[in-house]
Amino acid sequence: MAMSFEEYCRDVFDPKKVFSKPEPLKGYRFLSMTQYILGPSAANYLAELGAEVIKIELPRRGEPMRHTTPFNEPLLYPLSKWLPDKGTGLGFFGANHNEYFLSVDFHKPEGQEIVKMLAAKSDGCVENYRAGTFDRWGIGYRQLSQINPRIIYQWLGGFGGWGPGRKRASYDILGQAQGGCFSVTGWPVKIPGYEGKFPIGLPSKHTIWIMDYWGGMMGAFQILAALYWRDNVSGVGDFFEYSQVQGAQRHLSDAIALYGRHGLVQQRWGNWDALLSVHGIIKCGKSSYPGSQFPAEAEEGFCLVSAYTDADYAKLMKAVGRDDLAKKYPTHDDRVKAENQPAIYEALEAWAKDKTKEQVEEFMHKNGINAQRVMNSKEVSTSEHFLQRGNVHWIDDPTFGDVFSQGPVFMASETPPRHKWAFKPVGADNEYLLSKLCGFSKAKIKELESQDVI
Amino acid sequence: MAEHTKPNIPVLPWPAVATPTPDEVYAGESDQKKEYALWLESALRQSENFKKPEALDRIRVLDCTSNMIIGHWCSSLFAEKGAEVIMVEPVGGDPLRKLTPFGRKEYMFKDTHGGAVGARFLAEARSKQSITLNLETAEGRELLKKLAVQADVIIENAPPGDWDAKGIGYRQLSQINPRLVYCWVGQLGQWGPMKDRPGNLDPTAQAACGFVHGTGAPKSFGGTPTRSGWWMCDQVGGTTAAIGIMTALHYRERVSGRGQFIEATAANGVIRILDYNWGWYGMDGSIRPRYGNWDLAINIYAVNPCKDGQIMVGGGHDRLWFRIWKTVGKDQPDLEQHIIEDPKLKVVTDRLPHYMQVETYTTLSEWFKDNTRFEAETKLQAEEVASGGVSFMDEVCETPHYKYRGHMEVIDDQNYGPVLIGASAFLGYRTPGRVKWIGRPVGLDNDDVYRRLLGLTKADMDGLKGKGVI
Amino acid sequence: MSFAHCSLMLECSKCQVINYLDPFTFWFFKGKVKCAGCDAIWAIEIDNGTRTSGPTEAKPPHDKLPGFAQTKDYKKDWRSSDKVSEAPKARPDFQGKPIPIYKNVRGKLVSGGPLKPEDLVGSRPKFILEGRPYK
Repeated sequence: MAMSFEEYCRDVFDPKKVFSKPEPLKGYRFLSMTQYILGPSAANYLAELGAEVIKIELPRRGEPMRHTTPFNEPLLYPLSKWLPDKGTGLGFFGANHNEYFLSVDFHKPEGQEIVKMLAAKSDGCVENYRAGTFDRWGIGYRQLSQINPRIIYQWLGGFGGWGPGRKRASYDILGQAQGGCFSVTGWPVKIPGYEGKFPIGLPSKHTIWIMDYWGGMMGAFQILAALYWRDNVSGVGDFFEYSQVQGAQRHLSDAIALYGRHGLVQQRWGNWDALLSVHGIIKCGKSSYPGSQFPAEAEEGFCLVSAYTDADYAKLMKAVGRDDLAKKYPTHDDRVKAENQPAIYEALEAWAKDKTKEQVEEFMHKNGINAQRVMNSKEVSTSEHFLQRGNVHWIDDPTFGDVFSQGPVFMASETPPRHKWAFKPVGADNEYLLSKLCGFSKAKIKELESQDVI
Repeated sequence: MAEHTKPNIPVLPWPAVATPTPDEVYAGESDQKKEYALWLESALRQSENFKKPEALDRIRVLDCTSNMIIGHWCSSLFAEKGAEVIMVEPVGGDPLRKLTPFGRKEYMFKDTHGGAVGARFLAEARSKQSITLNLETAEGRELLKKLAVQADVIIENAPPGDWDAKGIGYRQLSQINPRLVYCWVGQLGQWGPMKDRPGNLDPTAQAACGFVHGTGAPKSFGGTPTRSGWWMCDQVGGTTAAIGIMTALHYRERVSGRGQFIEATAANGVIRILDYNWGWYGMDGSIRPRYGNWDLAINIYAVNPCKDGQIMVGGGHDRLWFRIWKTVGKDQPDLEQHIIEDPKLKVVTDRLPHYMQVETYTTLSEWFKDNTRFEAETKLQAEEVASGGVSFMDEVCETPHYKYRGHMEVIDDQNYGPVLIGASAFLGYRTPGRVKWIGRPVGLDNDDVYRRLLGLTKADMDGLKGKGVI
Repeated sequence: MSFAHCSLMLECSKCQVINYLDPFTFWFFKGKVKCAGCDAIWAIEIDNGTRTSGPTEAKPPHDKLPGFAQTKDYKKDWRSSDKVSEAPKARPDFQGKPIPIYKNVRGKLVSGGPLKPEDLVGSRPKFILEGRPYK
């Protein structure tokens, strides 16, 4: 084998070569009758794999996620051919790649008939409307599985459709709050003996709609497992319900075990770790871009420093001139104690007070200590590492032009996922889909449009 | 150094408060109204799980990862859906087993064979077997090659190139078993300028992908970039690995008859879902700022402090905006009036700029400070506004909705006794996910697995054990 | 309407400007705040969101600035960094409303601004299809 391992990886995982390789879900079709992020992302992970995913939205204005964008500022136009002066917000960006866009009014009987025609030919569908809504409209699992017993139907939502909280709305941060994950993230209210040294904290939400996007991943995995079972074993589809709060509790399974066995209620521990020390994110007092007009990069930097083995810890503390702390906490048991961690991080931050995060990281690496600087969104976007790997990439989008996007979720040597386009305006593929899948004529499509069915 | 004493924490039985009955849950609802919910229950209740088949029970997974959660999380998803999962641990066990909060040994989980394990590892040991194997020895590597012949999936997280150098990388194992799906998992990757260094753990990926930078309160509010309270990046990355492996298995069965090489990283997983960071940068160079518990794109959609903790309330549209202020106005009409009459807040999109959010949430928190989470939640929900308190783990474990739906369950495990865990999140009609047992002490299944997969005799195994190979 | 009884909304008794003491900075606070309207310094104590002491007049320097401030009739407000805490920004020039963009950060065409019906072919912007600048 002449190639080094790294060269081999660069070759088999080359993001520029993905279109020369087959798509794993070629020929499969899914309906995405979803809004916001939780439902759409589940279907979208399948679209990355080559499935034909048809996003069905309400006519003209589409689904609500199109109408959110940070600070109201960036939008991509047109929202639809009927509303060219309105745009789609970037909130829509993350969960709609590669999809085909159909507009249908589900509330109308003619719209429901269209959904049934599509479901007859689809491998599955994803929806995240309020539980029971689709059942009432005659297009829930009970009805669609009569038409197509092979259909795999994934419902996703906040609390699920049964149980005391079944009527509660589904929002990502509500899921985070009620699920338990908020209560363990952020700085503690106080660290006794270190008042003023570290930020006072309140529980913190995760910056991303994690319950939504990651919930979608769980949904996608379950759909793939169901496809496997259907196509290789049973010949029938399945119905799934995914609830965000249950996902949160699945995340925190270890905290739940600790509560059940020992009565412990896990608390926040800031940028440090309860299990490992030294393994925390420290403040580096100097800005990496001191003159910058962009506040998000002008502020001081932060860096993860990770030295949890005895040898690494001793090396670290010697390197920063605090050998005394190496002698004081020689074993991991010593330095992981809650009452001892603050002293160590205080010392590290004092040492890092006049350094940038790059300087801190470089120093650590030179001394054989693991470190990772905290990167902002521009640094990630321009990072050679992430660009070479295609974890972020430019898409030559047929509708919107040159847009920058996150990349697909994993790499594969033979059948990699890929991004074909970012997304499309509402109803952009009406004519194509309705003629291809429903046999509707041009006249019929115009008629449906005039009746606001599509 | 003073001896630290274990605080006297009362351990309540679980559940401490009885779970509601179906009659209580659906009291007062007409038959027609509750029919769908009752159908869902009949289709999804976990008590029926073991009467139903499993989607992936023909698949065998070798989880050879250690020290991180990403691989164990991934194999947990397979285990929950019925795959046979064997953890292949270093002799002495995965180092993760020894980790316990703040080093407190008393918080570990003892097994019936005299060992103990920490909660972090135990949570992802579900339904898996445990064997030991020393891959630093040539004999160990030969055994791995033989195991690879018998497996559908191998997951490993050794430093980049380590297994390839040892002759057990994808390039080598795919020659031995072309059907093998081989997945490498890690923080940043096997290749690239920032590829993983040995020992990189979560939150390395959190820091590198932009997550930490964007989480936490803004500097002007006294905040800093903040990491997630748990190894979140690993769990997201592990889920993407599961999607990758499942995809490869599907393609193998339906089309090619061959496996392939999958790489899934924690950083890639979370970059994928960092909202609009990338699109925004690409359009006009914007660098996403931290915004604490408020939202850059929606007002009202935030968590704010209240009398006994933190409370979430959401409502981006006018209808909900007015209902929220109506709720506040019932107790403090001045506050409602102050907001409603501000011309700067009349139009939905005008409410988004930062200073408008300060005005909104300060006024709202003026009301929150006099209400507990429960009070605020109840009052807002009466106006059909989405709201909920930030719950702590004990509250989560006692929330009626979660108990009723079995989000957590007690498994009375042969080795670890009764353990409360987060149940499988895969509720399903025909092939629900499930947890069979909590975990296995290190190497407990050597005898079973090496015998049945490789035909080793007791003498063989004793010999290998003597040489430190298993 | 008087907000004198409030904790987080500090109505300056000298100039009647409402200073919003945002719930992150001020939920647990002991110190001095500078009124945006008249620069008066107020010592105040807030515990768990409820004011326990003050506002009493005090001498500079202040510890913190309010998160925002405006007059009771809404007609005047303060947003500069010497009066109120700095707003998180993604760029130096925050707008808070849709910004038309037709060329992106690397100078290539992007359809980031409003269009008219005649600008479209089906649902696609003509200028993107044809690869020429919008205007």
